[in-house]
Formats: sequence, structure tokens, C-alpha cells
Amino acid sequence: MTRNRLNALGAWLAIGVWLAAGAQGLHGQAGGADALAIVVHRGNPVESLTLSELRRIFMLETQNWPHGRRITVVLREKGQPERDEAIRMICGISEAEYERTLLLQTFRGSVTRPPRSIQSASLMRRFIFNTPGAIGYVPAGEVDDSVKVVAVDGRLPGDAGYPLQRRARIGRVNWLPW
Amino acid sequence: MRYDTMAVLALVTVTVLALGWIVARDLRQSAEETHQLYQSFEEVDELTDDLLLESEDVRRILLYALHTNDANRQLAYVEQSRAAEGRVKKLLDSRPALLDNPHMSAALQKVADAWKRYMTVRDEVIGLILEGSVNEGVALDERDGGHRFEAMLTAITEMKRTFDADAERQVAEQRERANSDITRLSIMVVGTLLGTAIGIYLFNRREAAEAAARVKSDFLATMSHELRTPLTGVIGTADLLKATDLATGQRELVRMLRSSATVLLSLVNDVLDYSRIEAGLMALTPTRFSLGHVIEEALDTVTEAAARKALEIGYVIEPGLPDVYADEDRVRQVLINLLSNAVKFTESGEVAVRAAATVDGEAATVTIRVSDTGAGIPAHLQHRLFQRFSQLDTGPSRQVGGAGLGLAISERLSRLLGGSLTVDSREGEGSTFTFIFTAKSAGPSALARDDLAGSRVAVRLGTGIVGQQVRSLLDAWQVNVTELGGDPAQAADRATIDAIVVDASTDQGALYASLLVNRERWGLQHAPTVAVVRRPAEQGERVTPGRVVSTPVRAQALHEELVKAIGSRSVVAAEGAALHDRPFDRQSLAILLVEDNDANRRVVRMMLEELGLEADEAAGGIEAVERARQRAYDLILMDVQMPDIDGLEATRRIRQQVERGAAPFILALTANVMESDEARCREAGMNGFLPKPLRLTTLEATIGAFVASRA
Repeated sequence: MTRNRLNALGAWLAIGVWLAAGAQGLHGQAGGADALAIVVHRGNPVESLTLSELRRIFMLETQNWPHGRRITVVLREKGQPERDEAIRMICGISEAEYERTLLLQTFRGSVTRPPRSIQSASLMRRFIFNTPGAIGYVPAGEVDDSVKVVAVDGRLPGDAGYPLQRRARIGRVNWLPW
Repeated sequence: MRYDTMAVLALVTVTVLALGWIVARDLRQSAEETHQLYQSFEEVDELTDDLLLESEDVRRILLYALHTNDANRQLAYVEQSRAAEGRVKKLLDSRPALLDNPHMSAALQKVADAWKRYMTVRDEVIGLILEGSVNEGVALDERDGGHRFEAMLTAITEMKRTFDADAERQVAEQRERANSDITRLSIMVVGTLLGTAIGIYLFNRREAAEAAARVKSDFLATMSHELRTPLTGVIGTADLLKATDLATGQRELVRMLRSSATVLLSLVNDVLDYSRIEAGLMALTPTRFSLGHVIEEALDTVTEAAARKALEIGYVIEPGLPDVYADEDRVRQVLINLLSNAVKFTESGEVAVRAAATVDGEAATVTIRVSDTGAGIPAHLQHRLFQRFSQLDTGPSRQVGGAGLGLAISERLSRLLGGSLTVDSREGEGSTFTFIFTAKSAGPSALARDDLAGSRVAVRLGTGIVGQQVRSLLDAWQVNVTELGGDPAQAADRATIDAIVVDASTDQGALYASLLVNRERWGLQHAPTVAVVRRPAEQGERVTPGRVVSTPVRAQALHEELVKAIGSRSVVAAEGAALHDRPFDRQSLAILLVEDNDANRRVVRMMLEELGLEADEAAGGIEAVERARQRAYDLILMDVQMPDIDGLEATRRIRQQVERGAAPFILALTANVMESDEARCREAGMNGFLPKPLRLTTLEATIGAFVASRA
């Protein structure tokens, strides 16, 4: 029994070390480039959102900022992997599901202004720069001063435990059981 | 070229250059201002054009964004619009220097405000577009954006118009200023050049005129000198010719020749003097002299001319006037000029010289006034008096000769002597020329006398200049003067009178004659007389016994005669006493007085009456011979010089026609008292002679001797 418990402990330790090392390694290589940074207009007073708040915004369930301005959600163009990826990471659903949901809501009349679609990360920044109520996303490595990064669940990209971490090279990390 | 000419030219050049520099600077400045003005026009034109263009872009591009739903294209348009907006903002912020102008500044501010108002709408529209609310964006743009944008365009246009109006005004002002600058400066430059040109012209003309005047003076001086030499020859020759044996007609011709030559010589001398003065060659030679002396000499030169017109001439000198150092010849020359003019232009009355002086230490300022009672000079002609060759009377009726140089010379001479010559005249009242010159005082006059001080002299004088002169001389000699007045017999202290001075020049000697006749009755028989008579041909002179001084009175002559008269006083007194002791048998003598001159005859008749005698009278030699044939005279007083036959011839004829025993006693009356004359008289048959001027005492004594010889 003791040996089993020790083995189990060892195994968990090993996994923890690997994970730590892996995370460390990612940080060392790309500085959080694989994190998805949520960005808003610089004039937006919002500093931080919970992941669920973020999801409701992107699902167009929340349509106004706390200070009243209408929210404009900006996504990448349809067909671009960054759109699908972001929808999966933020909303937890596939792009197709997302489109279906929006279509449904539009028919119901609860959505009047669908998310805007933008071709590139740099255009995304510039669009948000020009649109006070906008919210969108860029790879953490492409953040600059023209936009404001919003913390998610109290963490900024690069922080340990930042929820919108991309796992493109490792595969479905987020599908781990914990 | 002369130094001062060069200086003038240099000055002119500097002035012109300075003015030119000012002109150039002003014009350049004005051109720069204009250039700046136009540059700012361009700037503003550009600004407004750009503003219109860029702001149009801002909206046009934005409107494109409303025509698509593609967020990427919308973004692109928005960004382009924002870029255009940035350019507009930059334009609005650029504010060219010209926009300091308050009008422009306000206009631009209006544009900026309108732009800002449009921008708020546009930002909202952009927001709506990017949010995807294109329809709302269109609506907003239509509702607010459109007219705000128009308002801004209007503001820009308005600004442009404001600026244009402003610019137009500024350009006009600028042009006006430049024009007035140019006009003013042109006038200055042209004025300066003109002034300079006139100055140079006048300067040159004066130079030329002066040079010409100098040449003329030099020429005249040379010519005058050359003329004088032969003229002197002519006069000298005429003098020599006159001394030879000539027929009467020839003598007259020689006299005319000489007088013409003399006139010509004096004219030439005038010209020479004038030229000398003008040429600056007249040098002054101061000597010591007495003013009285110079005046007397000057008066001498006009004596004859004055006597011909029966003018009274004389002078009065302020008592105590000192002798002076000055150029005597020049002073005399001026005086002679003034006097000859005065005599020339005066027909009756008198010509008087009055001298005075102010002495301040060594310096003396002598003032000599020559006044006449002539026609006077009209005021409007007086200024021409001292110009050369100027005669007031230039018409054909000119009455007097002369080159008209006299006064011009005198005036310049008096200036040369440190004084002046001025005239004060009123038409019909005569003229007074005032000649002033400066001199050095040389102490008390050499003519001062004091040997007559205290003596008593009774006077009977006229009020004219001669009387004034005699009085002033007697005063100067400190003589006690008693007036004889209307009735000389009333003179209170007759016995103490030393001498009598009578002016016989003014009343034809009548007073003098009556004085002589009445002297005894008046108790003045003891006092010798001095008569002032007119020279040279005063008729009374031939019959006036006693002492005579002729006019113009010379101080020295009067003094000498007075001294002699007072010295002879005792003799006269003695003769007078003898006369009273031996009265004549008044009715026993038949006397004939032969004398061609009425006045003289009257005087002698009065003398005879004084002696208690009566006489027949004959006015000529032939009449005398006739009367002597009709009546046997005891005594004939025979004038020697008579026009028809002279006294000598008359005597011869009388002697031939009467018997020897009844031969009258003939006494010659003659001024020729030479021994040879006496011999000629006796040869002609005369018994004796009475010298002229005839004296009462002599007459009485001679007649007394004759009566005694008969008895």
C-alpha cells in the first residue's frame, strides 16, 4: 500500500514538475505568446473580467459595459483558425455552435448587432483603437499601447493560471481531467 | 576750380547719395512688406484650399464607410478619415504669422470651433459605424453631421472672405504708403537737385558778374589813367597859350578849351576814383588835420558857383571839436562832392555845412551835414542816389551835367572811411546829406584861438549860415558879443565896444553903409569895423572902408581882421576927434562925384553928407566931362575904372576944356594903390587919389587938406 501511495505520489510529482517545466519553457520561449490577450478601447474603465463575464460578453448575452456604453465584440474573420480557437477558449464551444447560437438569437431579436469580423491581429488592434465600446483579442505577444489589456479572472496573460492559454503545440491540454 | 566750389559739389554729392540711400532703403522695405503681404496671401489661400480639401476628405471618406458592412473596410475608411482629420487639425494649428491679425484670428477660431462641433458628430458616427450600426450612423450623419460640416465649410469660406477683404485693404494701404513714400522722396530728391542746380547757377552767375565787374573796373582804371595824361597836357598847353598875346576872340576860345578840358579831367578823375574803390585799390593815408580847415577848403571850390547864384554859404563847427587823424584828401573829396551837388541843385537860399563829433577816448565819430535849400529829392528816387551813373533827372530836360559818379564815389568813400553817407530830403524843402566817418582823435584843434578872449564886439548879423558861422566863431574865441539891434544908437555901453562886425553879404551893404555914415551919431566912431562881404564880385567891396572878410568866411581871416581892427582902435579914435575939430564950410564947395556904380555912388554920397557936404553926381566919364564943362567944380572925386571912358581920360579932357586957373581939384578913387598907378594919375592931371575901399576918415582928412590949401 505504502509503495503504491509513494508511486502515486511520485507520479503526480513527476507530472507537476513536467507541467511546471513545460509552463516555464513556454514562458521562456515566447513570453506568453501563446496566451490570448483580451483587449478593449483604451478609454474603457474596465480592468478585469471573470471568464464567465467574458463568455457572456462574447455570447452577446451582456450587451453593455458597466458604464453604459454598448459593447462591440470583435472577432477574427470566419474561416480563420484564430476565430475558432478564441471561441473555443472563451465560450467553450465550437465556432459552428457559436454561429448557430448567434443566428438563433438574431432571429429572436435579442441580438441587433453581430460581432464585427477583422482580418488580422493588427487590424484588430486598430479597430479597437477606433471603437470605444469594442472588445476583442490578440495573441499576447502582439499587444501594444493602442489597446488596453483586461485581466481575466484576475490574471493577465503570462500570469500563472491565466485561463486563456493556447496549447497549440501540446494538443488538448485543457482536456486534462482537472 | 575753386576750393569752395569743390566743397559745394562734395556737399551736394553727399546729400544726393544720402537721399538716394534713404530712397533705396525705403523702397526696398516697402517692397519687402509687399512681398510678405503676398506671401501671406498665398499662405492663407493654401490654408483655406487645404482646409476645404482635407475636411471634404474627412467626411467623404467617412461616407464611404457608411456604404459597407465590412468592418475591415470600414476601419480603413475611418483611419483614412482620421488621417485627413489630423491634417485638418494640423492646418488649423499651423496659424501663419499673418493670422496675428485679430480679424483673421477670430475667423480662424470660428472655423476651429465649427470643426470641433462637426468632429463630435463625426466621432459618434465613426463609433456607430464601427459598432456596426451603419443605419444609425447614416441617420446621425444626416441629422447633425451634414449641416455641421456645411457650417464648417461656410466658416472657412467666411474666413477666406474676411482675409481677402483684409488683404485688399492692406494691399491698398501698402500701395498708398509706398506711393506716398515714393512721391515724398521723389520730391525731396528733385527738390534737392533743383535747389543745388539753382544754387550752382546763381553762384556761377555771381562769380561771373563779379569777375566781369572786376575786369570792367580794371579796364576803367587803366583807361582813366591813360586819359588823364594827355588831358593834363591839353590843360597845360591851354594855360601856356592863354599867357601869350591873343585877340579877344581867341582868348575866349582858349578859355572855353581850358574849361572843357578841366570838366573832362574831373570826370576822368571821378571814374578813376570809382574804379579804384571798386577794384579795392583805394588806400587810406591818415594825417592829422582840422575839420574847419578841410571844410573851408571844400567851400572854396564852390565859392564862385555859389556867388553866381547869390547863395549864402558857410559852415558851423561844434565848439571844442578836436583835430583828427583820418584821410584828409578823401574827407575833402566827399565834402567837395556834396557841396558841388548842393550848389548845383540850389537856385536860391543857402548851402550850409555843420560838423559835430562824438569822442570816446581816442576814437572819434565825425558827422558832417551838408544841407541846402534846393529842390529836394523825391522819396522814391532817393534809393537811386548812390548808384553809379545814376542821375535822377534823365529826361531830355536834364539841367545839370556830370557823370553821376559823384555820390556813388562819396558813398563808397565814406564806407571806406568807416562811416556812411545818407540823405534826408523832402521835395521842395531841400536836402541834407549826412556824412559820417570814423577817425582817431588828435587833441585840441590847431585852429583854436584865445587872444581875443574878453574883447567886446558889436554885431549886426543875418540869420543865415554866414551869421551863424560868425557868431559861432566869436563864441569859440570867447568874445563878448553885443547886438547892434534895430537902433544902434541905443547900445548901452558903446564906449567899451572894441569893434563892430557887420554882415554886408545879405543886405547889399546898406546897413554897413548906414553904419559908416551914422557911426558918430551913434557914438561908435571910435570902433573899427569888420564887414563880411560876398566874394568875389560884391560891388560894395570897392567902397567899403574898414576891414573886409569875404564869404565863405575863413576863420583865420576873420580872426586876423578882428585883431587888426581892435589894434587900430586908438588911431580911429584920434582921427574921429580931429574931424570934429575942423568943420567944413558946407556950402562953399562945389563937388562932383563920378562913379558908374550906383551903390558905390550912394555910399560915397552918404559919406559926404556925413561931412556936411553936397555933391553933383555923374554916372560915367563922358557925363563927367560934360558936367565939368557946364559948372566949375572945386573938387571932383573921379572913379578910375569906368566903362565908357575911364577916369584918367575924363581928367585929361576936363583939363583941356577948362581954364588953368579955375582948374578943379581932381581926386582919383582907385583900388590900385601901386606907385605906378599914382604916377599915371598925376600924369593924367589928377591932384591926388583916394584908395579904395574908401574910408570916411581918409575922405575927411583929404578934403580937409584941400580946403586948407585953398584958404
